[in-house]
Amino acid sequence: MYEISGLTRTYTQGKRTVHALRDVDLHIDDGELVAVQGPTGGGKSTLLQMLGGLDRPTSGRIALDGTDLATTGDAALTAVRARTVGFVFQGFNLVPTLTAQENVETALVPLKVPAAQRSTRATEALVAVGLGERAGHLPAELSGGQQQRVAIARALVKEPRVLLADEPTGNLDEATRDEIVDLLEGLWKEQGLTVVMVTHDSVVAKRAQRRLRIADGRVTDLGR
Amino acid sequence: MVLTAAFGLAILFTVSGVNRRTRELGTLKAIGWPRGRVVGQVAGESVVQGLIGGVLGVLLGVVAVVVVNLSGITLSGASGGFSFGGPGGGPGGGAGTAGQTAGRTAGQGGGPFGDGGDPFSRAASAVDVVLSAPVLPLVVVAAVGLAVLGGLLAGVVGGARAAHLRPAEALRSVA
Repeated sequence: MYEISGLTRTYTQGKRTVHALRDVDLHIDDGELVAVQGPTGGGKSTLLQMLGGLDRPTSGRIALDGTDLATTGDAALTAVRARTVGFVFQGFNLVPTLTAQENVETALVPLKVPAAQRSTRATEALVAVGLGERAGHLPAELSGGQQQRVAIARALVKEPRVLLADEPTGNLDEATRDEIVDLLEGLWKEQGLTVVMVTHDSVVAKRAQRRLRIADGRVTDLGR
Repeated sequence: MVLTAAFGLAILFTVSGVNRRTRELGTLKAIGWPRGRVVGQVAGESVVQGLIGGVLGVLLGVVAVVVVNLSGITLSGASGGFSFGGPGGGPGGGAGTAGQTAGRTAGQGGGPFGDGGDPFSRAASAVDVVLSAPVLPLVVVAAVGLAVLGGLLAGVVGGARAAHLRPAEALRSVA
């Protein structure tokens, strides 16, 4: 699925150059569940952004099913994000003025899915994450765990091949964390997704098939 | 001048709204919304806001006009001039300003040829002007049109700002 070689990302902060990723080589198979761990500022989120086509590397190659996300055009990269990759963020990132149902539907807008079909698919996605009853609620009327479920429904409603989760349980208590991880694991098994999940939490990381550690921009494969 | 200030404020508020919604717009871009769709969203919202503002403004204006017309406010003033007398004579004053029509001048009732006095005599006469405000369709259309135009201008500027948001930076900036 992913073939990464010599991936490097540097940022300039004032006069300082920050090496977020240094010459990373990595292979991620189709259908893998990978946890990425490491200290804050080590490059975890940067790697996730590269995998999702949210950012481009300074140098190196990052191929998703043969398409190099480093060099492909902006429109093609947008299409990859719209069709192939689903995102779940630590802060949920729901649109506060839209209901749960409408938030889920936003993922289908770039795919030009007709309104009636959008509505049906969004309802099904919310039912799949256990929130069928809460479709008409605004994010502010939902708990953190419920908001993250909505975000997961939004990520999965377009039936992506890859799910990228950046600290999906970072803002949740332990019980809710376990619910969300169970949900993600269940969806991964059910739908055969490739899941890459950044986490600080070792309990969550241990549920993955494979663990990576990133520190100072370098990746170490810890295996299982 | 007022129009320029109004357009400037509309642009300022729209750009400020885009800045406030960095996370939201960045997320939409992250989940695959193309640049044009994000720009269209911001511009569309701005035009709709302009339209709503225009319609509300017209409604407020109509209410104000009705109040003015029903209140029958009369402005009185002394005016030096020649009175020509006669019924309906001396309909002057007041017609020059929008929303005001002239009342009648004092000294009516004089016949055309001096029935009520010397028609050519110099007289200090009192002038009563009854305020009334007409509602002209052209003004209504122009008001709503300008409001929508302001919304469109603000939307284009705000949309251009949203277009330059890069999803990774937008998400990082609020992390």
